[in-house]
Amino acid sequence: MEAGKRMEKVLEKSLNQKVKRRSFLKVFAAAAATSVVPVKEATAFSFSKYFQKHYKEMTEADKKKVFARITKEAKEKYNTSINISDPQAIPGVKYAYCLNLKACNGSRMCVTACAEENNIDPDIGSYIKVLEMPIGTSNTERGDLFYDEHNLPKDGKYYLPTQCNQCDNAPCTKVCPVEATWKEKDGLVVIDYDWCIGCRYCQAACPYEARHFNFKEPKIDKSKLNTQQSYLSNRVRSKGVMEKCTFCLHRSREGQYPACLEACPTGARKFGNILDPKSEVAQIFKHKRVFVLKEELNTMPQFFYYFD
Amino acid sequence: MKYLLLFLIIPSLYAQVEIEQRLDIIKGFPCMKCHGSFVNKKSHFPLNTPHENIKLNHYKEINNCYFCHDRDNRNQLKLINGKKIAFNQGYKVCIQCHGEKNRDWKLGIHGKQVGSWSGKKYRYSCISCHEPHKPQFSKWIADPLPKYPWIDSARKGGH
Repeated sequence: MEAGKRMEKVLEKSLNQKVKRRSFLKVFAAAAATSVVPVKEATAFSFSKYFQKHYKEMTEADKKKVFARITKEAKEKYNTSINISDPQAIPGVKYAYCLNLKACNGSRMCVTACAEENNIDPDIGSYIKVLEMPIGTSNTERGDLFYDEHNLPKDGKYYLPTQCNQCDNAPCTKVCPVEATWKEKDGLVVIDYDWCIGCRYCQAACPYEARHFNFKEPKIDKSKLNTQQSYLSNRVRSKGVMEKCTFCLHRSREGQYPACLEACPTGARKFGNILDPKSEVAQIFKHKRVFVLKEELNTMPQFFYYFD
Repeated sequence: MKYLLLFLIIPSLYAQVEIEQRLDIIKGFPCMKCHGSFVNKKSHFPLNTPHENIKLNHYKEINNCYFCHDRDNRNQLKLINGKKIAFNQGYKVCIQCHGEKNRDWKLGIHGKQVGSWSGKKYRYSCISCHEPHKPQFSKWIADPLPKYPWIDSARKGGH
């Protein structure tokens, strides 16, 4: 007996009635069609977001539409008006960050300020990790993230805050399969959150553990939401995309210091334009001996440490 | 007058740098309101109210208040060469000994400086962090760690 006839016999037996192939296929097709229709849920499907272009290919008109969509979504979700800016790289500027390890006392005030400024999901916590290191090594494997918070600084230890180093030879931008992350002209490594597919290759490639993944929809406290946002830095992300420190792009491209610098109680952090010989960071290069982490990997970080 | 912020343009920098003014923060100025009518001759501790909390532990050779304070006019400080200094330029007393820190502070490397990396900056003075009578820092208590979901297993040493 050929296969079609065998199928009919089996169905007849199970349904206890004579089945016609045509009527069976009709029912099957209808059932398949109804199961494919998208269901309204928390992460609703949006045609404009699905067909959105890569940030680097957007025209001014495209950007306007995208920012309007983001503002509308934020209004629906948080019932607050937000301000999406899109500051461009200032010509003749290349950012560098310098940190005085003699001054850092492990206060973690930069960690808290970063979390508030960048609308970070509490599960990710913050873009900054402060390690308690034994004096004599810069090997971060020997650092302790969970150090005792009292009686700081402890004898024989120094405190090493780590975050994205905005590497000149960044491994993360090389491994991204869709070019959702790239290095801008002013040195910042940025992510287009709407282009990222969440494969986490960049997280595997980064030697400094600077890239973070949203395993779930970020839950930001409405009262703590920072409404001054920008497309490439601190706007609220969605489930399944990467995020990282951007040296507070929305602040630094407007001439302000990053939030971590302003929060530091000892003034250990210094930030500015390395191409300007009169800036604090250029003066630090002139007068102090700076080093970077994991220099042997040739990532060429733009985050420099020194002991005063 | 003391509520006006003075702009100090340092010739080596291109940007305007505003230095924190001590007189905006100090209480009980001018000192001569009390010290004009009576002159307290003693320079040993403990001092009378409102200075009872002051303990001098800056450098073992300095055990006399009048090394920095002007005995005749308490509204000002004085340098080793006898020159009188206003409280708003109090850092000039510090830089007599701390030359290297002065160089770094004037460049914006030492101490805290906020404002704009490309424009006007607000620089904190020496005594906003360093208590001049007892500059040794006390121990700090850090902010707590963020509540990472993996923190409990990581603390125990798990994967």
